[in-house]
Amino acid sequence: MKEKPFFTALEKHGALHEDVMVVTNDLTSSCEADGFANKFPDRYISAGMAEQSLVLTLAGLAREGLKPIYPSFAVFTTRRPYEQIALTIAYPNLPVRLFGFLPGLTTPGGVSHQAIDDLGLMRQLPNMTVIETADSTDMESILEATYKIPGPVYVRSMRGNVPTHFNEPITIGMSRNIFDGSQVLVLVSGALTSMAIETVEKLRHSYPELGLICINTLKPFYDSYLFARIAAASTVITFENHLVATGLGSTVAMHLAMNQGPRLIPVGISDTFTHGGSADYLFNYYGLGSEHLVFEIKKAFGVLGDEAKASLKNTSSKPTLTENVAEGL
Amino acid sequence: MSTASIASEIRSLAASWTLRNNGGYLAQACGSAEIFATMYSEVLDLGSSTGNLKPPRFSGVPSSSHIGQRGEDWLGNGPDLFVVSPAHYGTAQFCALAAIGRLDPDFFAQESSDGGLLELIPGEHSPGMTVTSGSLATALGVTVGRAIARRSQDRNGFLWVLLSDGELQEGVTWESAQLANAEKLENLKVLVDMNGMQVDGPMAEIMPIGSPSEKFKAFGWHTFDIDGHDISAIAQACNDAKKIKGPVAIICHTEPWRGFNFLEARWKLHKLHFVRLTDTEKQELTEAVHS
Repeated sequence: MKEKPFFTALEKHGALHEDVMVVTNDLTSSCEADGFANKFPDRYISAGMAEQSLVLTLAGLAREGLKPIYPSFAVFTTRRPYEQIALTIAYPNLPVRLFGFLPGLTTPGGVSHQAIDDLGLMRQLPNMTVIETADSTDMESILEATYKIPGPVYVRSMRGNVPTHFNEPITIGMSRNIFDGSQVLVLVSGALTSMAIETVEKLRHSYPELGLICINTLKPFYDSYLFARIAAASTVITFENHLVATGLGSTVAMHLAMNQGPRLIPVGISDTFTHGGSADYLFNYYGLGSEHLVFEIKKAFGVLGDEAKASLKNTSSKPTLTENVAEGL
Repeated sequence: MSTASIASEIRSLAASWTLRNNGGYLAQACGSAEIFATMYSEVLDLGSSTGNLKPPRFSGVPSSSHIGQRGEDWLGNGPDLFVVSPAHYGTAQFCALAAIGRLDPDFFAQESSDGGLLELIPGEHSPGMTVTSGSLATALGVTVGRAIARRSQDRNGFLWVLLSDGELQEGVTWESAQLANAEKLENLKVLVDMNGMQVDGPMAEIMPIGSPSEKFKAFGWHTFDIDGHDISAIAQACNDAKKIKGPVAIICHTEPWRGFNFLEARWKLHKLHFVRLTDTEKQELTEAVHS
């Protein structure tokens, strides 16, 4: 676990590269950009709560050779100024980096703050590189790893106390193997990685042929190591904090549609809007809890009936909102 | 060529373009002809065009393997930049570039938009365009970003943006105006073509926007209200705008039918945004162009 890895990384990045500018929409400290803003006031712009104009400004800065960064909550990074991103950043292929915090169901804020479609929105844009970070090492290394990408980049991001799983810096396009195992392969991305590691590690005592890979780059999707592992599996389970229709599940589904491979079980948010609550409550309610992953893994190994359903016992009664729901926004 | 002659040439070229394609954004060119002519001949310090007099064919959209064409090449390398925000004024911009010798008028008269750069609603690859701004109210914000960047790079020159009044209906225009004021941008100057027209008819009927001048003032801008067909008034306002230490909006009141009688009749019929010619109109326009 590390505290505010992006805060420190952004300051360092600013010190290393004089062409980096940061533009925010009134969420400067919320997105850990206040350190940069204080240290480099001449390279920081407060654009106010005006995301459409903010994104146009990013395009203008990039056109003059600068390397702008826009950190915000993922809904305000992607959904609100979508057209401006499409036409003025993605179309001209400008080197603008967009950071989206509070991904999926990681915020107790309600539907307005829950980015369940951000990866889909960015993934469908030509020229856009789409990344989801999964730990503090990813957040520490993502700025340097994306600095030289000549086009736009969207990074689904983590803030605050971020768990540490990896030692090596992130490599764009390359997945991270966590557990070998070829019969059933779990592909996880983002904040669910901690839960996936814990869940799979336990189940591997009974199912040693259960593998786990963490995917950080949804686009471009070209990792030959990953493709070989997928091809070798009999079942692939994707596990994502996003709508399965347009996120990791659909990325893998498109790969499988064009290549020989195993069947796919997508686990994630299924064609529904979401509402506010604690992470445990929401993950349970929307089928992203550890129990759901266990259930799907057991099914994939051929364990059916009451034994598999027993894994889901905790989800039959929906927990109520807890006192700490409002924390962390 | 005098500035007034350039304005006449812009109208004439736009009329020919409309005749050849049996339709076009003629009223936009007719209403703004003096603005374009004055900017190019009396205000802007652009540097030579690096674009070809005969533009090449479209080479493809920008991608990781293709950098894309730059319509900005036809505007030179500064110190000034002239940004046409409403891409529906693309025809007006092409005509202006042809009138001042940055495009070959003969080539211009033959060019088809299929596979060419002179599109009906052009993009940033089209001669004289800097932004893909066919979705209106896009270029001001991009130019605010460029103005901030150029200031941080200590670059001289002004960034001039031509807005249409219709773009003042879009909220993002005011977001950008707000930021330009907050940043106290001295190198950003705007001209608004107040032709009072939108697709469905007169703006006063479809969606009145009140006083743009008062609105810009409320956003902290300095403003001028002028007759957008008065060349000396445009030049004077631009000259004054350069001396003002902050963003300036020059509201140019224009008549989109200026130059051709049948356009005024269309204004009354609410059929002026895109002109598809009737047989009578074709005849009238042909005679006007040849006279």
